[in-house]
Amino acid sequence: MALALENVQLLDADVEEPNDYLFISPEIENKKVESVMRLIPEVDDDKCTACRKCVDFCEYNALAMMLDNVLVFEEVCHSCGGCKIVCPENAITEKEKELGKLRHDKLDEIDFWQGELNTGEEKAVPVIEKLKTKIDRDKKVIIDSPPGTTCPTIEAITDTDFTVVVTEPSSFGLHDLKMVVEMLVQIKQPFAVVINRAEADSDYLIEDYCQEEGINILLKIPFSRKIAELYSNGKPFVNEIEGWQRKFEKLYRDIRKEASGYERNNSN
Amino acid sequence: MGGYKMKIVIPAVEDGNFETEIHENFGRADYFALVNSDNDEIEFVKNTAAAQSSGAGVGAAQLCADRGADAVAAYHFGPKAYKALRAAGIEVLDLNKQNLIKEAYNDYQAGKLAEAVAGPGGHH
Repeated sequence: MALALENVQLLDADVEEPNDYLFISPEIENKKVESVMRLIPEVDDDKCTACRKCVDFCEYNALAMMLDNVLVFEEVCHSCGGCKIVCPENAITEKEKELGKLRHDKLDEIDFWQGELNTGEEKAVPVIEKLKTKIDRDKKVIIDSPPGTTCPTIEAITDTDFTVVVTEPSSFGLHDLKMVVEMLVQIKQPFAVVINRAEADSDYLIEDYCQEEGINILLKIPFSRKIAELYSNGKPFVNEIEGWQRKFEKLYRDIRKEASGYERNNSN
Repeated sequence: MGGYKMKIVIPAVEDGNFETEIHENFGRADYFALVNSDNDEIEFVKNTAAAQSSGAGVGAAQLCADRGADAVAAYHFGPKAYKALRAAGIEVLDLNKQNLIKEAYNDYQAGKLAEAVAGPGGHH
């Protein structure tokens, strides 16, 4: 859809495995980089009296007291700073550590940003938060969210106007769709469904469920060898197959309609 | 070990005795069997770290250190648990085909357990 519209900003928030660049900006590795930092405690062993207050405080087991030395496990630290506050000896300071990166590329019609979590890091949310500070409200902003229903996904969705849930007509697709719908309803987010790899003999799996729940299906992208071949060659089918440009333009208009309808209903 | 008191920890599936099964994981084990090699006394401690959302291995290692363990034997150690146990000066030993606590303990007594290497951790 980003490739079918004008004046678009695309944010790839699937920071554990960003892949939009393959179609948008294959050379993104060489583009401008910005670090996303987080704070990690550092313990001054000379000041530390091994009182254990920090270890007992840490909900995430990021600190351990071994032979009267505090051990810091940076990967599980949530950077909350609580250990520093509870330390009666002021033995804890915080140091910055790179958690991830943002990369940027500017194309004719797409302002493209990519969030990237460093290998070995587990906290995707701060990278997505930083990525979202780049939002340009004068553009049509599309965020490629991480899959699932956990914190990174919710972070990507929060404060957006509308969510498009892309699913597949299989039992697995339906199972995951139900989980996502449950989450979206809970956070009161307006949404609709797009079926990818649609096939006449299995679409009913998704269609029956959506009808029961009153969820609109905005588009079906067929299960086609042609699309898969283009995809595997890094070619977006929207530019290659006749008619898809218009379908994605219509998808955008439908999303706008759905989103404004939701707003009206909620302000009444 | 010549009469020197040693405490060995083995992850267990439940609060039991020498006939209890070994838990397949260290950090997420439900209980720990603490065996005193001086008098063969066995004691079970609930692994309070098992239910925690993150850093179960670190929490479990802390528990072992606090209980004065000299050695821990398990099938699998995550990298953080391994690092924490080693920092506490605790011997980290590998189990392979043992099934019951007594089998692991007997092999420990016989000096048959090899030093463990850290494996991949759990999901977060």
